[in-house]
Amino acid sequence: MSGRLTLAIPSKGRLQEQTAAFLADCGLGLSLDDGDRGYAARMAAAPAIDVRLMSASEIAAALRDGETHLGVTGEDVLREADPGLARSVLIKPLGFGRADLVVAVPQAWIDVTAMADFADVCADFQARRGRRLRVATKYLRQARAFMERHGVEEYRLVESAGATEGAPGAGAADAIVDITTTGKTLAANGLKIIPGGVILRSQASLVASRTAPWSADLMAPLERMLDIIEARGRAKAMRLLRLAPGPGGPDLVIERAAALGCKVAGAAEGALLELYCPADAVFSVCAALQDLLGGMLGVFDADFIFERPNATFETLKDALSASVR
Amino acid sequence: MTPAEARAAVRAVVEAASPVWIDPPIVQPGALYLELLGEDVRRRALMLQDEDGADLCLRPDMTVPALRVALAQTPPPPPPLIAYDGLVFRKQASGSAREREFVQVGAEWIGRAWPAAQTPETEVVARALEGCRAAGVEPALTLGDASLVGAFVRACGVGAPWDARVLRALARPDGLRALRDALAAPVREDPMAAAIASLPQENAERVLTEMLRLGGVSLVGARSAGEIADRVRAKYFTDGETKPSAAALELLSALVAINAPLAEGVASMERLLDNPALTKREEARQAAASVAAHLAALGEQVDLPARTHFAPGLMRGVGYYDGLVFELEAASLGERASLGGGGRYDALVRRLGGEPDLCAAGFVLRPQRLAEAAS
Repeated sequence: MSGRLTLAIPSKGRLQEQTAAFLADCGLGLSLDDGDRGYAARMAAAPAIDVRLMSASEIAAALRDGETHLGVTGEDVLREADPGLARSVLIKPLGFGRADLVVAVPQAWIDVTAMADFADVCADFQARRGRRLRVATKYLRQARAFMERHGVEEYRLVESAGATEGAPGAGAADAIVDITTTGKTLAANGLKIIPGGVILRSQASLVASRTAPWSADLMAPLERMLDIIEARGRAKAMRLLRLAPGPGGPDLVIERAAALGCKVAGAAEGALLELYCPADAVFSVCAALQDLLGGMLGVFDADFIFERPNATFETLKDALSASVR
Repeated sequence: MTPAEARAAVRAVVEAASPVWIDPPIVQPGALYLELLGEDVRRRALMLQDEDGADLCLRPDMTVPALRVALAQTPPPPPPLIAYDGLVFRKQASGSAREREFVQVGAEWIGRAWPAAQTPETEVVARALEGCRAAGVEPALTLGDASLVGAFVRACGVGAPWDARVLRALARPDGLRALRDALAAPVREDPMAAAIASLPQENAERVLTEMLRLGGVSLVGARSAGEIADRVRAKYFTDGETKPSAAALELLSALVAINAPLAEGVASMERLLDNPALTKREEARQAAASVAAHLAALGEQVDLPARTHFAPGLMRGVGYYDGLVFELEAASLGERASLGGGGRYDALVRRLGGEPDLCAAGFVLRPQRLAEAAS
């Protein structure tokens, strides 16, 4: 693996489609290596990176065990494989694959409106019936840590293999810890989320492994890939404004624009002034600048907006400093 | 002294009390441990799976496996004193200095409705100290009483459901802060709950069942509509009155924070009895007097180490003690200071044996650490 940067991405399902779409949107479109029966791919725009296709939980384990440098996986499965994220670094959430890891109990438990109630109910049940309430989950470690944090003691975890939300209806459990996106599946199974029972708001994330064989020569391709991803994200969050600085010169406009959250792209003498403006503030900024200058002002979309130093890369480099050999 | 010599020395001390030695299986049913001690077991015990997927565990202590053998003996009653000497296994973080396997030698006294004059706690502590000294170690002793904090909680006028919540909070780090947050949080009750709570008990269950049916809510899980209705009523009628006051929480955290030389620690506890947060002062007085008398008797009958502390918050990391509890330590071993300990655990033995009047107390020592501390 030395000399090549490896990136593991999901190999199936909606997460695979969304990851491929995300990379393609960044100009990092994948081409599958036919020779590897679909388990490896390349990115033409980043030839120094080997892409591997694995299941999301395999990716979490590979990141933990240092078998890949980078990976895209859900924070929920990552935290289950690597509690406390001792062996991996969350680089950035990617904005898709959103799901909440929650504690859900039967809707009929109208007395349970907080985690403290759940702790009481577990203790009551143990005292009355001499056995523990059962909580079905695939997320044993996170469930256990959350219950402990909320003083829930008298319960038992039941490891579920398949559809966890069906366990109470099937009589295999009394409550569950599972992921949900809309809560509809929970409701259809007669369950509700306990207020205050959200363990994690998860989404697909770009993750680095601390235990992978990092070397100094991998930093350049890593920085280049993160430059591209960040530049694409920045381009979506900003608009390019082009305007004549007016008779007062650029300084007044630059000062006003900076106060409105804009960054200056370029201000050569006698040329048009170019500003990067937060997309969600574009019309209020335009109005303010028009009030100041009058004249014409163009608003453009950028495909990419690069910026160095790349804060995301620098933060990651610091976090990996102990791992680079 | 070698670990083997320390083990033989402790064994000889236990043998002098004429126990029945028990050699329980190393592989124990995981489900039993999970039921008895809770999910914390998964973090402490090395869990295995049987061919059919059933949970098994390598015994993480000797007390429960030895008691199971003793209580299964026919015909009853179980022997009044059992002893054991064997390896136990614990899960540790990779790279931890803590032991994954180590020998425990110990003894457990089992009885029925012990009369006050015949409770064996004095002998339990005396034998445990004798075991340490036979291995050449003068340990530090910390004494506590698991019933004391509960009595103070009740004496502060804290009732269900808050008494159990306060006890749980006091037992874990940062628990009190979480409890204060929970107390400050606005109560968001289910709209159905108010209607149910206003009904007489005999109607509440029927109305709840009907409301769920009309709402299209299926009742899944093991709790019955009756249990839910009962708790809704209990929660509504008692919640406000039984909440702990800020002053009560202050008092209780002061109580569990006490960890001082015996006489000084007892005096600190007694000073707390004047606190105005104790609205049912008599209950706290009686509990404190009983603990103080117990400790005084212990001091008269047992040659206690020079470094003997009283710490009412002492739990020993397992939730099952319900009376005297004690810990033996060698400070020279750092994070592995614990040499053993023990206490009174009636509720656990009752759950294991299914008899409502069973009583038990015992101690356990770790010869390998004793040998290390002695050298």
